[in-house]
Amino acid sequence: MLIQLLRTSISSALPISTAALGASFTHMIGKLNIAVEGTMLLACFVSVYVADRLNSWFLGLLAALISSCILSLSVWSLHRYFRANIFVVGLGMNVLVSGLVVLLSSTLLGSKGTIFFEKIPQLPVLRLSSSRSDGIDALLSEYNALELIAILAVLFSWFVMKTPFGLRMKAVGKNESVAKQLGLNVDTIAASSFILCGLYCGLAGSLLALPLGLFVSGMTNNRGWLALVAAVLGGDSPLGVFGVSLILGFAVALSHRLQLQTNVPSEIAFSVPMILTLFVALIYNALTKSRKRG
Amino acid sequence: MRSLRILSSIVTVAVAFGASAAILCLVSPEPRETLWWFFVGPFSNVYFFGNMLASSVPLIFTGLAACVAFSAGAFNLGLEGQYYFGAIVGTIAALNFSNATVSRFVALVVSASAGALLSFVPALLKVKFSFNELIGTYMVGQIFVYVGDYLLNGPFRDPSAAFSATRYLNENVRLTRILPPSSLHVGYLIGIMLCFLFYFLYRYSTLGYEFRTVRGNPRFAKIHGINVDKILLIAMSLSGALAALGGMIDVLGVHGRAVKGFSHGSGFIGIAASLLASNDPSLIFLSALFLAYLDSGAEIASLMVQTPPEIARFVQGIVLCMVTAQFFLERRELDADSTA
Repeated sequence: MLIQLLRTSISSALPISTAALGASFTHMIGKLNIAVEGTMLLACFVSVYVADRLNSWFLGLLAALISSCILSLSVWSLHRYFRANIFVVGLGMNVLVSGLVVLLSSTLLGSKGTIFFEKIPQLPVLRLSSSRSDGIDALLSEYNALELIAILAVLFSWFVMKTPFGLRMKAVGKNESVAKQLGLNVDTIAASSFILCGLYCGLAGSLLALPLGLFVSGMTNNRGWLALVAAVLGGDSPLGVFGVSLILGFAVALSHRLQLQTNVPSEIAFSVPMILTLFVALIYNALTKSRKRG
Repeated sequence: MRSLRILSSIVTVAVAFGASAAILCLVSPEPRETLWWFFVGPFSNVYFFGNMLASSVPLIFTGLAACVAFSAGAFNLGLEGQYYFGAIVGTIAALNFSNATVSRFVALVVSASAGALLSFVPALLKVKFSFNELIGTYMVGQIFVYVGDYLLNGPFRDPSAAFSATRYLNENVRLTRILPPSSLHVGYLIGIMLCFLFYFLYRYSTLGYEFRTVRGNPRFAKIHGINVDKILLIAMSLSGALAALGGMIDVLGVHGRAVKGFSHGSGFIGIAASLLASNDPSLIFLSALFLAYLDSGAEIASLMVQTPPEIARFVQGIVLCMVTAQFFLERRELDADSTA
């Protein structure tokens, strides 16, 4: 029972944590990209649509990555070259995508509701040969290819922060003009961090849509915002971001369980991740404050 | 500089129009007819025109709410929740009274206080624990969107309704209609009056001066003897109260009851309305009208020729992406260090 809950927590934490890591790259350079929700939603649509058309989940993933990179880069370009407020642009992208996906799904597929892609190729799944389904190996089994890629992506983000490039991103975030005077190409670094953000959000979106083989316009269901909270709370450390995301994933899994197995009204169950996140954020805030004072 | 800013707004509007025309041509089977309904439809008769004005009312209030928060240098991302939850609580309270005046009064007071409370709490967290106000307002707002859904679907649902909604308010509680066949109501005039009221308060009152100082430079304001925390709390509560009032007035004027999901993202679009008017309260009713025009154009086009009304969201998104962009900057300015 508990093992199962933990296992579903990991599965629901992975999309959030990849998106959160993506957002944390932009947070690191001091320009938090709040278009995460929209980028994920676009990736959801593109991944299932392309995977269905071209009959390959890999091409679907690739298309999702490319489209979300474009979205992410346009956020940055509007901010850099037209001095738009990055925060408002992000908000705008979220609104824009929420309209765009419905437009696309109704013109390309003729439906605005839930769309099932029945012929979508199945993702390969890693199964550990084990007879027991309740032991610790249940935690480690049954990951599909995308989830494995996501786990690699988490490790990669940790690795990136150890490289000179990662340190340069931090430097830009700490003080942009000093970084510039030191001879760093601030624009290239910022653009690459937005590309990374796009890649991670694209992966997060595909992670939501491809295994299910369906698309709904409310599919991301605030996960992008939870990811932003994780990115802000986790700060510069990818492992911290991942840790916060795991807690959020647990909250999401708990909310699903409450909906299915108890009499808690579904609206209240929906709000559980939000409430838990708020409390985590508050406690975290209080802890870091006291550490600074002490 | 001022004229450049106006020119920039014009470019934003032009790009928004261009983009919507292009996308309409792409998705519609009969582009010319669609374009006509989209752009001219809202002016084609009194009914459509009045409805367009009526749909700008929520945006006037949420725009004003966003503007009040901005004008003290704060961000209120919870407008959606304040708008939605405030209106629901106000409606539920008003349903308990039979006297029309009392009922209307109770509705407005209860909704405004609920909205103020929802934005006061994150503001207090910010002031006391320096908790990020963006996260705070957004999370509290979203939680109460769900709570509002619960109230509508659970304890206060009208048993005879096919969907989640409260009972109807009495006919005499509702606001007077202005252009009869359409749903335009006196709330529109109240909204415009509030815009100008806030304009004068912001410009000429002591509180307005304090707001401006805090926005410009909080440290200077503090040295100057202004209680910065207090100003922030006032601004945020006022912002929440205005957003909730917008929701309540929409219920009183148009819907007659609180319906699940009636807010349609008015909270977020309000931020766009405020920014499009470059945070000038006296212009917000115009920018709200522009955003409502896009919305009604899309709705009419979807009624007349089969186009998805979501095109409006797409175009509003484009507007939001472009409102803060500055298109006519000199090279020198662009290269200057700025981390804003």
